[in-house]
Amino acid sequence: MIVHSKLINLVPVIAKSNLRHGLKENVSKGLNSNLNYSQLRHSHARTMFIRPGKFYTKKYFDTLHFHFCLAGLPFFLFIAYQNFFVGPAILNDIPEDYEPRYWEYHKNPIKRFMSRYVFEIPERAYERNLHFIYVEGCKQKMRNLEKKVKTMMKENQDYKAWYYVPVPKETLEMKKEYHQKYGSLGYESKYTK
Amino acid sequence: MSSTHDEHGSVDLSSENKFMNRLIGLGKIFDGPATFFREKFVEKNRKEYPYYHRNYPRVPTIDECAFGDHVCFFEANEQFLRDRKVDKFITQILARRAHECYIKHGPYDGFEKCRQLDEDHEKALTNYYIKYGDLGSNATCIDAYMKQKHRLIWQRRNPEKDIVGLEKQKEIRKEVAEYQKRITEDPIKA
Repeated sequence: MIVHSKLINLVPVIAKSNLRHGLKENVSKGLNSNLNYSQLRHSHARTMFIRPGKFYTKKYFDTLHFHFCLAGLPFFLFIAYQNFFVGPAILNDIPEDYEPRYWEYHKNPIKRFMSRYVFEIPERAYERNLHFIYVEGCKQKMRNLEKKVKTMMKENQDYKAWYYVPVPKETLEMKKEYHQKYGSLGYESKYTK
Repeated sequence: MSSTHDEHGSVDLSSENKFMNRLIGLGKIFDGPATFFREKFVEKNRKEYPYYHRNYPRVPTIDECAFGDHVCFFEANEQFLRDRKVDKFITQILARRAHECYIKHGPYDGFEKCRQLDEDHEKALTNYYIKYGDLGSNATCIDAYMKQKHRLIWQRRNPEKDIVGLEKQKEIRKEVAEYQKRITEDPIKA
């Protein structure tokens, strides 16, 4: 417990130090108001200036600046150049004896560029698709024909191609004997009618 | 503000109303710097170059295609879908015209003065429904062809019936118009 002189009042004391922890005494105000119970070293007049933190604001502006410089500014410049110096196309009637190229059907210059150099020619793709449709149609027709021929061979049993199984003649003779004995059904039909 | 949409991209901002004219002038204050900037700096550095609308040639329709000719069917189907889109836009344009006429004249006078536009719109809608209606979005040209076939058969079997009823609608509208006239002239008598 140290009591200082009134000269101490010249020094602005904003924060009372942590060294006071543990010292709990009744300080009556009024007559003893000039008593200071804080510990001071009298080294300099500067004290810590308390203010809100700057971390989040700085981080926010930093990321904003980063993304703007990386993507925002280049795209803005590109789009400004496109709109100042190039501009969109103007609609015209197709003149006679002229067939427009496949990229001249677009208005935006970026779309024109992409259709000219990146994507494939629509007329070519269309014709190619028609070719595939034709080929698959031909295949379909051949397959249907083959099926029909197979069914007819199965019904008529007149060709050796699909349903011919070579069998020794003894089996056929046995079958004949059996039919002669028992009939083609395997039993006499007069008992079932 | 009376605006006409006859030309593509141009709107007529003129009217006899002083108040409307002053409002239009207020809008032009914002318009001035933009047009100045464009005419001085932008138009001089640009070169005009054209673009065109695709011109699709007509191909044989589905009734001219042989059975089993899948290529012919594919092209006829594409043409069918394009025609359906075009017809849809046509009905929308006619609806827009009738609506503008009603906005100009009001709902009471418009009943008389917009009669022709209304009838055109109605006819277009009925014809669209006859050709493309109730087939769905995945319709093919064969569906529409079969629909037409069944409709013609039905018409052959029932020659006197009229399910569309355009003429009946016309008569109803005439009667309503006459009733309105009678009411306005002499409300107590009619």
